[in-house]
Amino acid sequence: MADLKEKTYVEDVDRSVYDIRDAENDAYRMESGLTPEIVEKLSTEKDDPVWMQQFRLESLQIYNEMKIPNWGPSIEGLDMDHIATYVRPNTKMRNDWKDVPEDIKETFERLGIPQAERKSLAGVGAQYDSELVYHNVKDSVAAEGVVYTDMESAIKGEYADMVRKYFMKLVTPHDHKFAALHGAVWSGGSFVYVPKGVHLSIPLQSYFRLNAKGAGQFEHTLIIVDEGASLHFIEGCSAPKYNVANLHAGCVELYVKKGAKLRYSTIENWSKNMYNLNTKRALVEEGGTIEWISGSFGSHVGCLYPMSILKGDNSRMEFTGVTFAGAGQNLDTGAKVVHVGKNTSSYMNTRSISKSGGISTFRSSVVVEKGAKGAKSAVSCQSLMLDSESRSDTIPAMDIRTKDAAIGHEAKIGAISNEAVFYLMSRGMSEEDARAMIVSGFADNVSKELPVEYAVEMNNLIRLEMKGSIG
Amino acid sequence: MNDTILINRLPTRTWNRLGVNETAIAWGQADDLGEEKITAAGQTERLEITGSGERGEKTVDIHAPAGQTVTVFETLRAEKGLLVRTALHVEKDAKVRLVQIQNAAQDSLLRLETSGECAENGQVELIQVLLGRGDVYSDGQFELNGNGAGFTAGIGYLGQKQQTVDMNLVVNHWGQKTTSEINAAGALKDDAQKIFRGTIDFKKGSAGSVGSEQETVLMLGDGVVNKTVPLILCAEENVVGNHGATIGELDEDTLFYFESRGISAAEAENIMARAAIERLARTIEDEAAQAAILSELEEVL
Repeated sequence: MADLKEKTYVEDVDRSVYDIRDAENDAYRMESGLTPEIVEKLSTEKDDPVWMQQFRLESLQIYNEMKIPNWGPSIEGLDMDHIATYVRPNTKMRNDWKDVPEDIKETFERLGIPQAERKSLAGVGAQYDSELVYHNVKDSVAAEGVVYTDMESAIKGEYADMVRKYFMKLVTPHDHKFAALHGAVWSGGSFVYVPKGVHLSIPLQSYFRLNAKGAGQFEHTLIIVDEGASLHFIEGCSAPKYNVANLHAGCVELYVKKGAKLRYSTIENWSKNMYNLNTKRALVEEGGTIEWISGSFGSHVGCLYPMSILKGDNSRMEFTGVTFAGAGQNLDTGAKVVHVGKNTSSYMNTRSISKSGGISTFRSSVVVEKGAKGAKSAVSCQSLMLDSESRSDTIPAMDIRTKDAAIGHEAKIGAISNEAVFYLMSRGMSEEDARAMIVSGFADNVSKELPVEYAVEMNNLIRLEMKGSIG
Repeated sequence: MNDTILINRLPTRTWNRLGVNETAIAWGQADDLGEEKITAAGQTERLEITGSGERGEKTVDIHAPAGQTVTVFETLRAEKGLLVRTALHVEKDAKVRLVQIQNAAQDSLLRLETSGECAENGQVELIQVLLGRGDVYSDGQFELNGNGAGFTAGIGYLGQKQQTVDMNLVVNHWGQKTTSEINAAGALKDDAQKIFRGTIDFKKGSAGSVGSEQETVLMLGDGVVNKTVPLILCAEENVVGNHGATIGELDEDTLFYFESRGISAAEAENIMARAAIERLARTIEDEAAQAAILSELEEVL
């Protein structure tokens, strides 16, 4: 047992199926960089309506005028002059996997997407680089009036007015520099509308795969859950690793109407050359509920803070998150909530793990506005340091502007208990397995909230990250 | 002439729109109120620091030689603008106990810049009593350099009327087995605004260290604004850090308890607002200081 006091070397391992690269067989790749000409060309390629082309150009102007944030991880390694903002795969969108080109289909097969669709999903969207290559929703779900389609179709088809009414109204291009970038070059993503009173008992899922080297992915997800309806939406993402920077600056806008409920689950597993500068926001009306489940495992640099605006009285949010930062990773994650309506409630429960020089930061903000009488908020964050090469920071902030509120916050940081490792080893487990089990248990706030297939994937990711020689 | 200066900087920045990364205030040329050097060990020093001009700056240097204890009471009488810089130098096995009591005029501005360095097993005990008149900006930076060094802070505040109470306290753990404990508690009435930034920073090499931080805020006015920013920064595996915050109004059970004994809600709020300060005053264990605090409390509440 004396050895347990010594430092444990935990090796980074092969990321298995996630790192397999396909040959780049694009139908079209935009030249790298960001100019009005490139944005116009992108808009032409996508056959945008006029308003959207104008919106893109205005967003680009905002992008050029805004500064890089002066807080958070450094993004100096990201050079927009070397990022291709649009890469179209060599296929149109299909609704039958048989029609998807073999190489792309194989990638998604390896990731288990078609299998998951058959077993446990109500619909699937699969994006490859900048465009969706597959989108399908079960007939029984469509029959209830549920709309689940790609954003390009939505913006031009029968839902065009609805999309225009909501598109980037919650996350505006003025929000921050990378929201403006998104407004300029967005492509792909999904549109979901769940009609009043419809409850989907099984989830919808979108999966985003970025295969192209030195490219960006800027998908837009817009979900409207109408009054009294409910939905579980799952988002997954991965990419093979390259030796140049890739960028993900997606945007998720969620509208949860009166009495509706939306659970939004994400397992983020981008490659470790990725800058993941994603923006997610929900607007929750009276009696509505937003639940965020978030697992962040990939990316070189990640900035991700899903925000909930509790506008309606009695609306509520829950955020459950785990972040695992390994070698070469700087993951700055957390959540934001703004209490506006009366008797609103929020609960954040997060775990952060840092190892092998990884940097994990939990960042949060709880804002209770003057009129949010009866607001309740609780934040609990725990961090685990697996070695002294790593960092773990906790940066919460609370801004409370009414006396009629009850706000609690607690945080804890520490290391794996040697006693717990000893206990497991005394029952025949190796030290490596014991530590992996303890870390999996530490992260069970998230895994127990996921459908079992995804919980298994998340635990596999933790096991892979923890695997290595102990010495 | 006033310049705008930035003070009370958070050691690591967060969202700018929250307005907590630093504070901008107007400050300019100030009268030099001199420097006080306290090196005598084993005794208690009492400083009455008064700034009667437009702006004054006073420096206090406190040195605790190895194995000695120094206790210093600072009564801070700001009439208009007063900046008090207090630096603590704590040698091996020594201790400094610094009690700062605000006794300011209405509409005054008091700035405190308090710093300290602790060698092996050196200890600092800081008590700040901020009593609800004038704006207060307090910035504390403490370095636990030596193994076994320790820091405790007890901060009690009352904010009322249009008052601003703006605090920033940073404790850097450098040595092994260092300890820090920060307890802040206070009440906000009327339209008072308060920020408390508390940072415990475990530097690489500070193995075996423990830090904790707790803030309790009683919200008593419809116009109050409370900002709480408790940070733990960590570059060392073998440490334990905790922080917690509780913010809210008097709960219904407490109010019911008071009302059932014929005490109105307004009186109950005053009693609870006094409680945080009185609790802290009792820990000072100095009759003169306690009497001064309680007397001042009577006046402001």
